[in-house]
Amino acid sequence: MTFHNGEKLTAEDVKFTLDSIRDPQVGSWLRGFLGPIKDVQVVDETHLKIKTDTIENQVIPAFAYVDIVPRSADTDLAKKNPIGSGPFKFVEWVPNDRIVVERNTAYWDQARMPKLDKIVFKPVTELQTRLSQVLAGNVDLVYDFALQEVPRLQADRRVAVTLNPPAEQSFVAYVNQRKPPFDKVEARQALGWALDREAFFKNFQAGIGSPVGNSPFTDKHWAYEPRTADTYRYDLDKVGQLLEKAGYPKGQGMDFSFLVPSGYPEFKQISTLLQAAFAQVGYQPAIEEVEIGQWSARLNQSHDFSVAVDYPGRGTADPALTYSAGLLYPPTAANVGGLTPETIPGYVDAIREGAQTLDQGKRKEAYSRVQMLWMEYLPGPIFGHRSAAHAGVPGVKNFVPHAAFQQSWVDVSLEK
Amino acid sequence: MTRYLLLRVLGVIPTLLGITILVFGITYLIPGDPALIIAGTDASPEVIDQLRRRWGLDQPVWVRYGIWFGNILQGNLGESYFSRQTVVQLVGNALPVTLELAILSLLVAVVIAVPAGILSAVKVGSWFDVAAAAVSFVGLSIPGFWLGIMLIYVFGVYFQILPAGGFTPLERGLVANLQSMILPAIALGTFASTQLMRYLRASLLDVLNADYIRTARAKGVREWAVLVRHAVRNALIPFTTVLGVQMGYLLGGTVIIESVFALPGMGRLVLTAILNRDYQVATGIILLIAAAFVLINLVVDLLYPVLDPRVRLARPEG
Repeated sequence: MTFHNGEKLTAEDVKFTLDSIRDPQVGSWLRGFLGPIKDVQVVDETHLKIKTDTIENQVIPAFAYVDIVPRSADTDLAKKNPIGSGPFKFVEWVPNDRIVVERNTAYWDQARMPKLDKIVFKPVTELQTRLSQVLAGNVDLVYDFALQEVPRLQADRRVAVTLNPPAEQSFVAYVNQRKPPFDKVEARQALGWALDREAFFKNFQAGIGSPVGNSPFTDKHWAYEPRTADTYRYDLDKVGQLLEKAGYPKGQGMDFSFLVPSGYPEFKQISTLLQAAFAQVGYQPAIEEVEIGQWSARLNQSHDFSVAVDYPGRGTADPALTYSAGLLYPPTAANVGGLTPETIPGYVDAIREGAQTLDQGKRKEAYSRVQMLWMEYLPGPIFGHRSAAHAGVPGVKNFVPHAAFQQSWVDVSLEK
Repeated sequence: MTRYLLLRVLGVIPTLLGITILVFGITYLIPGDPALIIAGTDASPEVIDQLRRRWGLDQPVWVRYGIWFGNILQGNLGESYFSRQTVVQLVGNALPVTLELAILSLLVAVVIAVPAGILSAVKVGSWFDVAAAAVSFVGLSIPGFWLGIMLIYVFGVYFQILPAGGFTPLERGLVANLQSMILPAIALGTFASTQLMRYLRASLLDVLNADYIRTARAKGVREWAVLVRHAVRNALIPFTTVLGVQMGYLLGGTVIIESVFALPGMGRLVLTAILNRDYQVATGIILLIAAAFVLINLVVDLLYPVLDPRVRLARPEG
């Protein structure tokens, strides 16, 4: 097995990759994924010993996110010439214009060689131009476009539409529990009852996706807790009652806004529906739209926000990973809403239990508890699962969208 | 005359210096953090601090300005945090696209504006003048992105005679290159032409009412000669200034048209850099655009004495 630069891939390279990710000096976003690893030892050219203090179920699924790099390369985050060992190798990146990869003729799996000679990825920011390009046959595939366009493209014989099952990404609201009004559990629960999920999916997602919400997982996932399905629905009476209980009767004294990044219509649509729901029971929250860099800084650094909608992923991963990575579920310093290990009694213990046992029954029971505790304290409401649509010319064969957006192109072919 | 030229050229230096302070200050005032954007939302606070230290973002603003300004004096505009390409490399890729788009759309604008402007002024109040005014108002009101999307839909998707957006570099053939640039040039040039036409019409009307035109007519000079030799030549002087300013705007890249047609030009480059808080790229490009703007204005100013003898005569001491 060799890298794209011809070097042999050995256990030393895997150790180098894992150690680099774990090194805080490098600054890899995956560092938390590999958190439980204490040491990586090379046994021989093809074997490693990875040490953890106890059984850690998050480690093996986390490896799916790790791209092994040669130890001759440095640990720079943004490399000019990325080198891997996959079916396609990097050719060039012209910012705003194209990324080109070509077939790796020395790919290790000779039985499953890439079918395409090369792939050119073109960033086209304007949705209508992207769709026009595939309809005109100027490009072969458009990856992930607005679901509202799906019915139109499904009716057009020049393209074939493929859908991601709604599972990986869930619509959520980050809620700032550090300050009023959402320091009160009733105010957070009111938010959970405020979204008309059916209306959102019907009107803004072309009816595609899963309005069954409240859990990071769908009913296809082994860890899914069915009791979460109806914990929160759309009920304006409940919103009014809970807000009164929280100390804000008839909208008095309640001051908050929805922070929305420009260019993410779904976040704004959900925020607008929530705003309308609050208005109907006498509250007047504002919507504040800022560009994405500012949105991110206010969420993660200054914590200057009340509610912000997002669609984080990892709904298809092992729950050990779902609850240890990201900004919503783990009660760490990076938690956007300010969730601490003390916020929900028993939450951390249940997460650790699920992460550190191999008994599937016990794991399921532990994660059921995690989900039900989440429902009770509701640090962030979950509003169903997002699907994604892709459209290709009929000549594109064997394109199967990856559930977690880790798309492989090895089997995809193009018939002209 | 020499003094006029010297003063104009020397005047550029404080302007450019002021621009560096402004560009740097404004870019760094935008809230946001490149470390946060590149590290991704899953990164821990230590990871973000580490990246900030590596890029010197933990230093006070004036220290960063000093380093940046020192680098600029050495011709080093910095490199992208994201792509690791130098600003010069990035601009080298984007500028030809924008330059071609600017020239072609200016060409479209001039081809429409000059005959229409002249005809409107000569036949003032005629059906042509009224129709041209109506068309130009419509042209000014149509949003560029809408016209762009419509052009793509009609010529790219429906008739399929031109590509539906995207850029074909000149190396892949002149015809293919021009095919990829026609629609964006029309979308951009149409808008510019309406402004230029209104401007040319107004300045030509001014000139046509001047005493020397009446004198020329009284002398018995033929009408076309009055128009071409006396009127249009004089009306083109202020027109040149507007053309220069338009060129400056177009060189800055037109974010909307470049986004609609997926052209990898300066507008998209600077927009992405600002959105990513890619400070080095953003400041480098804005500085280059501002400098180009200043230089184009300088060239226009220097052209004045050539085009207009009155500017020369007004400074006899030179």
